[in-house]
Amino acid sequence: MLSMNSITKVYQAGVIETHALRSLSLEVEAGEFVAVTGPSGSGKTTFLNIAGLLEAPSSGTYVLDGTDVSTMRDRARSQTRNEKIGFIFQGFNLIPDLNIFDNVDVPLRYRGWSGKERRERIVEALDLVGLSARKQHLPSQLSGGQQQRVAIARALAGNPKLLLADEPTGNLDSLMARQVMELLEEINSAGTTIIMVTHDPELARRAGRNVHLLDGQVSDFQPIEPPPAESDDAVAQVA
Amino acid sequence: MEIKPILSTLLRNKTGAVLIALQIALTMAVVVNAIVVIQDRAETIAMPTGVDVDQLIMARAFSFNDEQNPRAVIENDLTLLGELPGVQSVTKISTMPLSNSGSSSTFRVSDADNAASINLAYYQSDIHALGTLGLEITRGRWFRDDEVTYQPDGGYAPTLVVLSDYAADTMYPDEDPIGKFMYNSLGDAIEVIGTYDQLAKPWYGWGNFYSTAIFPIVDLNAPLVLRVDADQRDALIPVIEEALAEIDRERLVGTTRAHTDIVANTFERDVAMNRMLTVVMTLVVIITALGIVGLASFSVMQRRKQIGTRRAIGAQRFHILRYFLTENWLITTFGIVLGLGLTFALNSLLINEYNLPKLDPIMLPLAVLGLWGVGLLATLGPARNAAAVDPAIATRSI
Amino acid sequence: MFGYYMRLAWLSLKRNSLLSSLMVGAIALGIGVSMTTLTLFYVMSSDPLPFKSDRVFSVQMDTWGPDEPANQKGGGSPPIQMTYRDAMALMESEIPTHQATMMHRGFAVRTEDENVRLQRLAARATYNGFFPMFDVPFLYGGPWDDRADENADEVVVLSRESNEKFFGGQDSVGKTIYLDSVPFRVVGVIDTWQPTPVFYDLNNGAWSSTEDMFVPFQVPISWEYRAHGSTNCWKPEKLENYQDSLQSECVWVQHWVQLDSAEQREEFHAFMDSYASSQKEFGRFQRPLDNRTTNVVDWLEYMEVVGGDNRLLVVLSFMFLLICLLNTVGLMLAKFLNRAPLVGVRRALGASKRDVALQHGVEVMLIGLLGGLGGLMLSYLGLLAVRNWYTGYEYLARLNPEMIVTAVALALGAAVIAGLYPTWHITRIQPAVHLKTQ
Repeated sequence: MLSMNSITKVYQAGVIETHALRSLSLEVEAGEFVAVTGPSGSGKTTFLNIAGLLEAPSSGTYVLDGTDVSTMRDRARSQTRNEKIGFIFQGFNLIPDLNIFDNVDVPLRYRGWSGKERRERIVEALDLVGLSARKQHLPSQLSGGQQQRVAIARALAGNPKLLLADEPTGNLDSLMARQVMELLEEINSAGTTIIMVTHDPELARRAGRNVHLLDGQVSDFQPIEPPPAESDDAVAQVA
Repeated sequence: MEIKPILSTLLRNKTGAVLIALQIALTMAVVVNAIVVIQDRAETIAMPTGVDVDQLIMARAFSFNDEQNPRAVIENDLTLLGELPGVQSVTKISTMPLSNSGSSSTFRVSDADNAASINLAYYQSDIHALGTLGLEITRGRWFRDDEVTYQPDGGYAPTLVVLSDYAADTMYPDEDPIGKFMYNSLGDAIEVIGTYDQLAKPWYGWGNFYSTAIFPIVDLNAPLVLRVDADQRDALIPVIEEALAEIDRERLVGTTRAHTDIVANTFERDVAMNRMLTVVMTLVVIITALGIVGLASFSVMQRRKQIGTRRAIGAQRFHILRYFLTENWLITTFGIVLGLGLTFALNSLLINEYNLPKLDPIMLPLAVLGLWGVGLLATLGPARNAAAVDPAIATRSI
Repeated sequence: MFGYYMRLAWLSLKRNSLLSSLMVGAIALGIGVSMTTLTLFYVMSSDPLPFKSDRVFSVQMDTWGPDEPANQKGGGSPPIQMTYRDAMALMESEIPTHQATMMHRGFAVRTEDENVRLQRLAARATYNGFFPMFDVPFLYGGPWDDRADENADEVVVLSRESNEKFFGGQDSVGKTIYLDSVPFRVVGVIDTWQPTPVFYDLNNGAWSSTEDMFVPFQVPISWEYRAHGSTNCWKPEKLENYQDSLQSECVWVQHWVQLDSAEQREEFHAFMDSYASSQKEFGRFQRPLDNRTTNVVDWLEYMEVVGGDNRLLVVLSFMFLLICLLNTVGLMLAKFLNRAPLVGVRRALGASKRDVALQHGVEVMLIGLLGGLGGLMLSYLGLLAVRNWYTGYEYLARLNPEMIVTAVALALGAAVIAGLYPTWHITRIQPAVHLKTQ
């Protein structure tokens, strides 16, 4: 699914160079649920930006879904993001002036689908996160957990192959965090590859694989047990 | 297009949009009505006078002595001035088009009691006026040298007249004016012997601009008008003044001026008004454009996070650009709709108060296109900034 | 506290200099344009004869023909000038404090110095009552006496400018100057005198300069000169000679009177009416009695001296100012809201709504003040352009202290109005909201 080879990222501020990533290599198979952990400043966000094609690496190659994306121009990168990648942000990043329906609609707009196709897909995605009844509401009228579920619906709406989650539960209390986590597991079990950046070891443990970043490099792999089977019930609760 | 979500976003952030729309509306009203005035004035200024304006110079010499033979003095002036190199011909004529000094009088078209009458601005000249001014005889004939009266007494009335086509056609519609008699207020008969194509009145306003006549009368102190080579005109003005002074030191030589200067002086107020209106109009457009730039920049600045998110979700730069241009286009269009009403309201107010002409509806589509253009141009900068927002901003937690 | 707010305002202006200069610039332009047109309008409609304009009157008598009124003003009114014979009849009256019939005329002028070339200068031919009636200031000498008026003596009062031109600015009283080759004795030199508009004779443009010299009215009459101005006639009359035209129904002279009290004015009106009635017996004054005296300010209004163009410009430029204001409201709102999180912090640190309002109010005033100063400079430039574009506007298009005060007040007022909504908006900020999303 995803193959990074000797990725480095250097930020230049005047004469000072900051090495955010140093020769990072990583393979992720289709269908995996990978948690990326590491302390502040270890390069988690930079890794996510590069993986999500928000930034280009300074050097190294990045192959996503069989395509070398490391040298793509902006337009192709935008299209790839739109078609293959779904984002879930820590701060939700919903557009405050648009209602739930229109928020989920945003990525689909950039695909040039017909109105009917988009409507069907939006309802489907909102159904999946259990919020189709609230599609006329504004983000500010929802709780944090609900907002993040809308963000997940938005990420899923385009049927991405890769879901990138940046501290998806960072702004949520523990109950809501658990619900969101269970939703992600459900999505993963349906076949979507997920890479989740988090600093919470509890959360990381529930992923299929842990990648620990330290000072811009992968420090060690920690394959762990698949998540407990009880998740099915949890999804039922959310719905 | 994504009009619906843009609209719903706009409706939630009304204040800025309303301010821009109001500015657009007022701008439209000011600009369209200013253009109406400017066009009206420009048309007035461009009215043809019927004479070859660029080639004519008006000179004047006043004699305070009782001349025993005024005709000899006049002939002498004409001969000496006519010999100056660059001078094509010289005439003695009472006034010139748009010089703002002249006479008019009412004439009846026949001696019948209920005869129609017309107000004619009249010129008095010698035979050289025809060629010097560049007039053409269209019907009948021009007067002969022996028909010209020099320095008549106070009670003198002319017996012959040459009319403008406009005057002749108004006085004798569908008839041959040649040989007809018109009558002054005292009942003196004046025979129409010919018509010329076009000659404007000495002033603008007060009846038709081309309602004129020429009588064969010459006064000693009437102006001299010279037809000169256009390229030598300005150089000749001091030469003519000097030559006139040279002929008789006892006379007072008045200011010699190119006819274009005289015309420019007559329309000075209109020209200045048009300049002021043009300045105000230009500033209005600039100010409104700057206002749009300011508010659009602010709205981009405020929505950086949102733009980053859209980019992260897969919007191309082009999508972001289009979003902001569309948003502004909607605001501008809303302003234009308001502006249409305001423009007509201001126009009808101005029609009532200041005799402004009614606005030509063809102006409106032009104004709409223009305002759309201004709006799009002004938004282009901020929209490009928006398109340049780094998508990685979405993952930053600010 | 005010000093602190002033410093905050200054820092805030500097922090976002593009937005700040847009705001100041918008106010400056709005003020500049509207002050330019307003100054023109104000000067044009100002009183050219302050302190006594309500006691000095233009006289009209309805001598016009029976068929239609002389002019359409106010639904038909008497001619704006007078016939020579009626003006002379009024001059016989002892009722007015001062009165003068007058006309404009050019003369060829030279001094005894043969080398000085003949010059054509403008003169006002009038009666000696002209000078005290219009408060004309004298530098040397004074008006001619009544005898000069009666005998058509060749005496002249020079303007300060022509005295400088011909006599180097010295006291020229008693010296000789030639008008159309006839020697005239200088009896007085007036100081600079330029009523704007030149209300007493609007024939040659309301904004033209006053005449170069003044001579007794009967001088050009005795020389059988016609006035330079407009002559309007209604009656078909055979005018064989100059005497005929003096006795004709043509109107071509101006007549002004000074009447200091209502009784005096009534008395004068009674005199005019009885004169007009007596003339009816000779077949004159065929229209209903309509004799008028109109004071200076009303006269200018009646003569529509302030043109429609100027009103139109004032209207358009205030719309322009409105656009500039809307612009400023938008920009201020943007600027203030951009700062909302900081205001949240201030509120959390104990600033009251009033403090926030004051802080922003001071900033608004500073913007207005800067805009007003910029606007003053722009209107100076604007008036410079106007003087350049119109001849004869030299006396008109100038800034005076009143207008400077008006400009600054207008700018401050405009800024306060523009700042009201943004300031109100920002005081409504809930401190908590912005602190949390930080």
